[in-house]
Amino acid sequence: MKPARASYLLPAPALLMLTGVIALPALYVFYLSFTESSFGTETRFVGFANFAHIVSDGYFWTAFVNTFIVVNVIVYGELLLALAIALLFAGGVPFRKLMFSIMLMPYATSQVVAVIVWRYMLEPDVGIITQVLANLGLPALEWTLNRWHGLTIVSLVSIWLHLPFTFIILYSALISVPRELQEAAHVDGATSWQTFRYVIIPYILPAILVAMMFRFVFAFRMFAEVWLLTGGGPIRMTEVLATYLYREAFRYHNFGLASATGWLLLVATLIIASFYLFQMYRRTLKHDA
Amino acid sequence: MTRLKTVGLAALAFAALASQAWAQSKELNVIGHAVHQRAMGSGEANLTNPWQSATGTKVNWITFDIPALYERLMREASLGETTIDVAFLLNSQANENVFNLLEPLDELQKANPIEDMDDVFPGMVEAMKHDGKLYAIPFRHTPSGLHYNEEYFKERGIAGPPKTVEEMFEYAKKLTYTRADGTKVAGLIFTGNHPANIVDIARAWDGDFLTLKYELAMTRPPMIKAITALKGLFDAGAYPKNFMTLKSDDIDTWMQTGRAAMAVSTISKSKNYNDPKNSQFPGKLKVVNLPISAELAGKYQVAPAKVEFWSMVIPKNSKNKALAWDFIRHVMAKDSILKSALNGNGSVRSSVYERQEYSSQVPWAEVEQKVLKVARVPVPPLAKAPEAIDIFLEGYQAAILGMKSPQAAMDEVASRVKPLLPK
Repeated sequence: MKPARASYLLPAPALLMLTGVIALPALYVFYLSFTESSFGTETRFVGFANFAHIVSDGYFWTAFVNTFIVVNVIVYGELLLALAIALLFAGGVPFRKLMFSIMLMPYATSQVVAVIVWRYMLEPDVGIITQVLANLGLPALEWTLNRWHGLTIVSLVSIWLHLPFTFIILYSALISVPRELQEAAHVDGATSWQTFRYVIIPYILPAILVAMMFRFVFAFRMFAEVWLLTGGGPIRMTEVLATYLYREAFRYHNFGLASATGWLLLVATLIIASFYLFQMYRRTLKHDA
Repeated sequence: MTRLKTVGLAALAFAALASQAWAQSKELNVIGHAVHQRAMGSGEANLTNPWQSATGTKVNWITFDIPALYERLMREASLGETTIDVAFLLNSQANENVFNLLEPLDELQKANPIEDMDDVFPGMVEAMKHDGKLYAIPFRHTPSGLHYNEEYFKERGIAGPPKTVEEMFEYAKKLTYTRADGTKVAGLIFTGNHPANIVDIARAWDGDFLTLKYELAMTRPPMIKAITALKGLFDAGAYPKNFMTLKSDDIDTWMQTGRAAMAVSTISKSKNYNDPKNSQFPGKLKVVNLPISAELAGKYQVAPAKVEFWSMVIPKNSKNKALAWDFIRHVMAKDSILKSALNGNGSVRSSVYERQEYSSQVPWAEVEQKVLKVARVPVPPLAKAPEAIDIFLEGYQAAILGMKSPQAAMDEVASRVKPLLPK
């Protein structure tokens, strides 16, 4: 039965809102990416000059490489940790409600507050983590001086902040695995590892892909962790794409360059999301058909 | 009384109350740094209280860190209209692009002048003019000085503040230690997210980052000597590992909590540093002029440290220009400037230094007066100043971390900053 014409009007308000707050600004930013634009000056059309400038800018490539490394560390590290904790919770933990609250706490904390608290805990002289490392005889994390230490801290803080998101998706998927499937595998002589590898993982794979897709997209836009911890330093060596964009837009007021960077980020995000959406389609919807 | 009369009286009373509330509901939105709000005083001593009562206006303050404040002003001033009526602008941010978005103040000054404008330091007023028009009214200056913890000096057997910059570096190393209570003390600190205090150190040799004529002075010997000396300090552990992330507020906290023995910072912050409510060392954090180098001791009495100044502006698109100007007039009146100076604000009126109330109540008055004779701005007005500053800081960090020699780092900075300068 064909839907009535009037029914097309029902989602119209939502579509209009999306057009107003996402599509139109995105188009305006697209237009800006071909201009030289700043406060107090006339906007000037410059063609592809902004894109050419970005791809020839060493800082962009440093930011790109850092983003690539950090995003992969975060997404896969967080996935493994969340899966391990979700398995622990699915198997049963004492004081379940309390443990759940503790587990979800980072997600209820303001990102800015959380990063600042971490910054104080990691303070190179008096931070509690620095003190603990020193008491254990371990070397200090020189995150203010060393690029790789800085990126490591950024990754750890980001994983801590977003772990509840991945955890809750995987935990929901895990508790929905039918018990009969696991019992059948056990009767067929499967070991715990084989049950996990060949029964549980395939069952929760769509959830894993959803979690990974969202985390890739979120991690790609990572800003607060870097800006508030290292500020992109030293010597802009820990900068990521979002802080590169922020610096161009809100510190240098080069809106054309910042817009072009924004579009490059969008394209990269779309490519990653497409890959995961395709995988989901291949493994679930197509399989169901 | 009939019911009708009662209702009528109630309606009248309600209308009277409503009109009174409406009369007091005028609001003036001011964006600035926390130091500007603090300069006005707090509670009953707030110097804007009489103005708020007289005009029935409530002043709303929104405060930011320096880069965020500039960004917010530019964003608001670029809109069709803004709710921001008065904003504070730093001298190095005052360039042609900004002036295009601000209200020229000459007509307002002509119609309703600020009290004795000639008393305001003329050099600062001149710097706020563009194409012959005045766009901003100077309110606060911030010359740098050397703050030191007297108790720590005694603990380390140092008799008094350094007399030369060489002595300052030597003391910084001696003052880097762990106290009996476990407090780790850093010898010397200053902000790392702006070149102003690095320029301060270079001024001991009369050095600069960019001169007022936009000459690339960072490659010259004074700046190289300053960076080389600071690298020596860093290598000796007397300059904090997180020097590049230290902001102005961090410097204040480090001094107040005793984490540092010496700090290069705005002289008038002495009041804040010694405030018993916030400081663990009230009365023990002294301030002196930044010392000059041994080689220039005959030329200058004190180092020609940096001085920056903040001015008040009205965005061109503000809907409250008359009220904003009235606020500026009140805040700039002689008595108001004196009160703000007593609150720790660097006075832009020369007459304040002659007032007995000031010299008797402000311990750093003489220090400030001494440096104002020789001080100059750290960075000239430049539309591309944020980029130039970041490039300089990158070069500075590379030199301090030993990735490049100070000379090689500054040569690279010069080549990258040159295209950003006015043609």
